[in-house]
Amino acid sequence: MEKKLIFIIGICLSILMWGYPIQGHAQSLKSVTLNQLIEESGKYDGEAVIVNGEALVEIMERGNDAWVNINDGTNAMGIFMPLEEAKKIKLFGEYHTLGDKIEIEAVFNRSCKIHGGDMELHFIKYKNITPGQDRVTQINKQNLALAIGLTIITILMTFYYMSVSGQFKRMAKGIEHFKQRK
Amino acid sequence: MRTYFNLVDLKVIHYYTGFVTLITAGLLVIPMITALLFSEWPMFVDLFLTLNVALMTALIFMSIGRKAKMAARIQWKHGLIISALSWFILMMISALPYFLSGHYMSYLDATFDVMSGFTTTGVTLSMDMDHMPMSLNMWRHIITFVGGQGMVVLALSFLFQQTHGAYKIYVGEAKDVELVPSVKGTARIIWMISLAYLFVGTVALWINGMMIGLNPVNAFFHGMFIFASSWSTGGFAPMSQNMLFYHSFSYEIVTILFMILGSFNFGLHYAILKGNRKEVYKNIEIQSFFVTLVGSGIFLTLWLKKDGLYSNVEMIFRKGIYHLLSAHTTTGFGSVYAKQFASDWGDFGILILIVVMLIGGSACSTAGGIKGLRVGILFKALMAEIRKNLRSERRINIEKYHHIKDNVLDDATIKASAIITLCYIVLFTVGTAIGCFYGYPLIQSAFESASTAGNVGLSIGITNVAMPTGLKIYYIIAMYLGRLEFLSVFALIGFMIGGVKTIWKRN
Repeated sequence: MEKKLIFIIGICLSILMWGYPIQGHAQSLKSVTLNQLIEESGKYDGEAVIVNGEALVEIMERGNDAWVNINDGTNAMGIFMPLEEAKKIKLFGEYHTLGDKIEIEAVFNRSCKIHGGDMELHFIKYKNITPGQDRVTQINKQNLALAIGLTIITILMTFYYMSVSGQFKRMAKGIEHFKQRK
Repeated sequence: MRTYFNLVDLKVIHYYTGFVTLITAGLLVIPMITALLFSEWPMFVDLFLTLNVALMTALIFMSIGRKAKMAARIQWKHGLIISALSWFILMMISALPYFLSGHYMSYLDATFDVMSGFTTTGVTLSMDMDHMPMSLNMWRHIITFVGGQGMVVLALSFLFQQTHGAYKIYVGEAKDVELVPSVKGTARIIWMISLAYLFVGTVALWINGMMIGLNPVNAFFHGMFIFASSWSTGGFAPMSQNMLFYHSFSYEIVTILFMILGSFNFGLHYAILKGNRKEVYKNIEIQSFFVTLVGSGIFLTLWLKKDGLYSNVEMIFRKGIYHLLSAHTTTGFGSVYAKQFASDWGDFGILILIVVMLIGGSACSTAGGIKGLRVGILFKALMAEIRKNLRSERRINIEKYHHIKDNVLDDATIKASAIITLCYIVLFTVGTAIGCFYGYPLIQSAFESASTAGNVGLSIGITNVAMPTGLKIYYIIAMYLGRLEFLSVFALIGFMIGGVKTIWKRN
């Protein structure tokens, strides 16, 4: 009976001890903004953090790995990740598009020794990927009307300037001269 | 009261200011084509609108001054005012597409960015730069590329015939090297040198961009933009992370090459092209640049090594030496976040950057700052003075310095160098004081002030959309004064005050 009890307690303790670091790690992970990382770089250096932001421009392949830059609205930062993970991002932010929003776990480096001292993130895993979308960009009709109106005025002013500065006369003389030579 | 300006003066100033505006406005066609290529229709309309405003302004100015075009001879006062006025008008007009794009909070912020571009400073107040249209980025980088060479230099290369006194307009833009007897020819050589480098640099960065994983289209445009900024010692980049976006040592190395070349005197480039290779090590500016770079490089390396944040040679080079070069050539490319200077570099590291930002690059180059030529001249003058005091009183020695040719180190040269150096120091000190007045720490205020006065573009975090309006205005003025080296702007202010006085007296 005593042996059984010790065995059960032992099993329970093992489970608790095995589970504890995982639970502890999960609890210590903080969701932070990129600006927080920059402002408090000493505090987060070497720590695993959760960040989220919009993937920008494109994947920059480096062998089996890649760089993806993200912007979370407070700042932008590069994430170094395996290429196959990077390829899960389908849309990248630029003028015409809002890129996929990725939420990731990553290790923050204040000055990465592998990457020449860059402040960046080393990817651990995705927590979420929200698909991006096209950005709607419309012509401002007032600006268009103004541009057309100003074009007409500019053309009239050009004619005025060319006539008062005698450029039409010079052009006519040039044509005359050209005809005579022919 | 003595009158310095009459109606003919006004007409001359109007005509040539209009001419510079007209030629620079023509450059808007390039971002318009870019907008068409990338289907950026709202931006196309904004650029088209701006083109019309620019052409109308140019035509009004040229119409007013057309009769004085041939009749009057350009004088020094005209040249100085034409340059300063053209820069101001072009700043106001060129800011229009920035503002209309919605990437700037106010028109003041847009003009700040344009002045930063024209003066090749590189600090920015843009918002959401990562979604900026390609065409607007094209316009930003054209502005910085043209600003490096000079808008007046561009306009002079388009003069149809030899204009009497064109050299005086050329000097008004803080350029003084005569590569060939005609100013038009000199302006064209400056542009030919720059365009040749534009081709080589864009191709180099394009290939490098593809090697680091950018697609060919992005690699080409990013390469062109980054070259324009490197060569013009501008510091703008198409992405908010600046050079940190690329995460590439090789990309940084290529920019180092072009920012050093860009900070050298056009006269030196021309001398080397003509086969005079000895000029490289004989020139006082190169000697001055080498001494200050090596000296500051040693101190910065020792400091960063002691600090321990950058622990290996690659890190010290990519973060320490790269920023030192960026500051000394007045480029302003950054591969660290602005706040990192304040949090990681320590006061001594920041101080070194302040000193090299104030010294700057070469005269008659795309760089800003006091300039290596003046630092070299003042150092030689100091040494000559010490030698003079130690020598026999009866012995007279003529001091010389080499800059393109051998020059006598006379009192007038020393005085001219000392006056401009003094003006820079005053500009820097006032900027630091204003920064402190608004509540920023002394060392940070000094850093930002040195960066704007020296047309560098590195930021310690003060320059942002939320900074006080008074500081934004001062920084615009500092960039403007620093780039045109004071005299042109002072002449414009004198001209305007004189005009107001005349009108006041008549009424």
